[in-house]
Amino acid sequence: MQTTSLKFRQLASQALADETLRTALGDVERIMPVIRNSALDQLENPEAWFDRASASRDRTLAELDVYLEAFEQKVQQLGGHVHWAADGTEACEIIAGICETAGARTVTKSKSMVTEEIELNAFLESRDMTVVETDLGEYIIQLRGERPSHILAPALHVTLSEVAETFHRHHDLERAAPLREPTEMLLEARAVLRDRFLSADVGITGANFLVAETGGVVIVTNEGNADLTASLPDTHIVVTGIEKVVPTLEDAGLMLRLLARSAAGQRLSTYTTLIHGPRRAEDSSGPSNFHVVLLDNGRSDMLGTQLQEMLRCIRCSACINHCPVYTAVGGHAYGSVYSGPMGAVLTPGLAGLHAAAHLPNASTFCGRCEEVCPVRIPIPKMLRYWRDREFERRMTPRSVRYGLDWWTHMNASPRIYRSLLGIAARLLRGLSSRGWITRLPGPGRAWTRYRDMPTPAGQTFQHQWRRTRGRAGES
Amino acid sequence: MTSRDAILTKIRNARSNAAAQIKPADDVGIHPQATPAGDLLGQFIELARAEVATVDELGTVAEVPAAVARYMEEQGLGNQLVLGPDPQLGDLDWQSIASLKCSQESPHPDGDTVITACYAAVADSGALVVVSSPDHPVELNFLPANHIVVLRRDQVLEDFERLWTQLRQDYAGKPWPRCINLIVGPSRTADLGFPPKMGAHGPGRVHILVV
Repeated sequence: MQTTSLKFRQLASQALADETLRTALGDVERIMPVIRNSALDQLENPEAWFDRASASRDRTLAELDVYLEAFEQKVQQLGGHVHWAADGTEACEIIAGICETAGARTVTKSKSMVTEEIELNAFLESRDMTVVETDLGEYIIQLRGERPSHILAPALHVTLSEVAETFHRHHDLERAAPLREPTEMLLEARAVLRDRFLSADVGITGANFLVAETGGVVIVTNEGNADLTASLPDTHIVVTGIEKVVPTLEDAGLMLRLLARSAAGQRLSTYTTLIHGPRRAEDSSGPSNFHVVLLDNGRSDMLGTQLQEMLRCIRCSACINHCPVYTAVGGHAYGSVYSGPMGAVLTPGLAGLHAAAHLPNASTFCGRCEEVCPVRIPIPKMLRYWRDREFERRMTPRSVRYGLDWWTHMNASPRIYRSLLGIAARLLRGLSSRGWITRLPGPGRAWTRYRDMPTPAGQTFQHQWRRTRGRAGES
Repeated sequence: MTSRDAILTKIRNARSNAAAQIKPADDVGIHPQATPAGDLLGQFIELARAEVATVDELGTVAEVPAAVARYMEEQGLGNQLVLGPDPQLGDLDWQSIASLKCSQESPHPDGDTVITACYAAVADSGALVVVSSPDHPVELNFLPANHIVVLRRDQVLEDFERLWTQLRQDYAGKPWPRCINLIVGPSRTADLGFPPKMGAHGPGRVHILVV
């Protein structure tokens, strides 16, 4: 899994200066919490549903091998094939092998972050196959040679005029209408992709859930592209992570209720599909070959560790939509297919901390991610876990390490701590004008470069406490 | 060691408890919400309409051809109707509606109006449920521009849990159908800004005839 997460600081600064991106992210920040909340309010007591969902995920993860083997057996009984891939390269090899056996020249795909994680498109293209993304957002960024900036809305960062320009540049000119309105762009994409759907040799989709009880694969979309991808070609390949299995249909129903509401404020997505194996002998259509590729790629290493709870994730993106850091810098700054709070935990787990440093620090610890998570993943706790590992491995900048050492010493001696703090409180008050501090000297300058700070009281809390407590005693 | 064995071994090493079994479905702690007593159909229709489906309540199934003709004329959808291979629909008296040109099958309906039956509907989410079979190829739900669905009043179920129970009964001892599709209104995308735009890859219109 390739990341550019080490450039987080630089990319975040660029993103902050990008006015177009700010508008798109402003919409996320303004709209998503409102529609999510009203959708969750349709459930009586949503918190109780969160409890059930996280308990169901925990139960699954505690017995993951049992459910995966049961799922495998059911798929085989239905006439499908299950493949296990330890890492991204193995998964790509397996998929390319299936495509080559099918004699595939054109492969259609529906949106799958796991295939982004393993960089499947580049791999198949290197084997002379044409890969066509069919989710509209993924299609747009594929044409533009970009990576997703949001797991649910991968082209969030692209403006409508950029979409029009992209279609003009890549589509047959005769077909290209003026494309001023979103509906015209939609019709244009629909027409071009319709031909691709009908001519594809292999369709590749992800999975939202795998149902151990029946061997069913659950796929959710609003566009209907996954269904055309899964049903029209003669071979359908599902690629997904090993953690996506759920025990029964009841567990799937529980997740579906929370997924659509948390993700897009919908009661249920437009299309929720359960696929069971290849076409039946009597069916007149549907793929004759059905494959499921189960990807590990670092997931099993998280089991039994403090990161296990991250595997509960159902990829709803609520944490992303509610994150003050994500809604300020957008997804590309994270340099990973998984962005926002869930990405800051998952990316170091999958790609290694060395490739993802900075991400665990891209948090204000405000805790909204944990509050909105429908499966109650304690994201701040896990970010703290990664920060501890960073510190242990001496990956934290020297200034921070020395600073923390100094802070520890100071805290160990109350007298020094109190007197230094008293001096600082008075100094800061002296630096302020009209109730605000806009410029700090020395290392403090980096802080005030982007922010102002309200004038402190001029006295420490302890000082004030002594005074007020004294007064309280008198009365 | 194969990757399968390696992955399963890693998972087993990470967990402490003894081998488990898939628990019976009633053990997952789902307590379906109390649905408003009685009017499941009313609830379904309200939610389906909220998701931009249109609904026409008819008397008997015999009224379907005339209702289809009326709908297609109102919406300006021309007079070409694709009937799936489903005999339930094929056997209706389409001849009596002179304005409609019905074809039994279209391999790749595009820009067409298709009519199909359905398996069930789920009241608490406004979803139609269709199940693939030789009588109902799955692409009929996704390729046409307009999808007309005939729903019987007695097919409306309260929630997912009732749907799973019914599927388990109907497919006991047989393989499950390849596709079970839950459909809530027309196809849409949010990739071209808020609010979502209708008519992405699937049908841009979903019209439900209740009989």
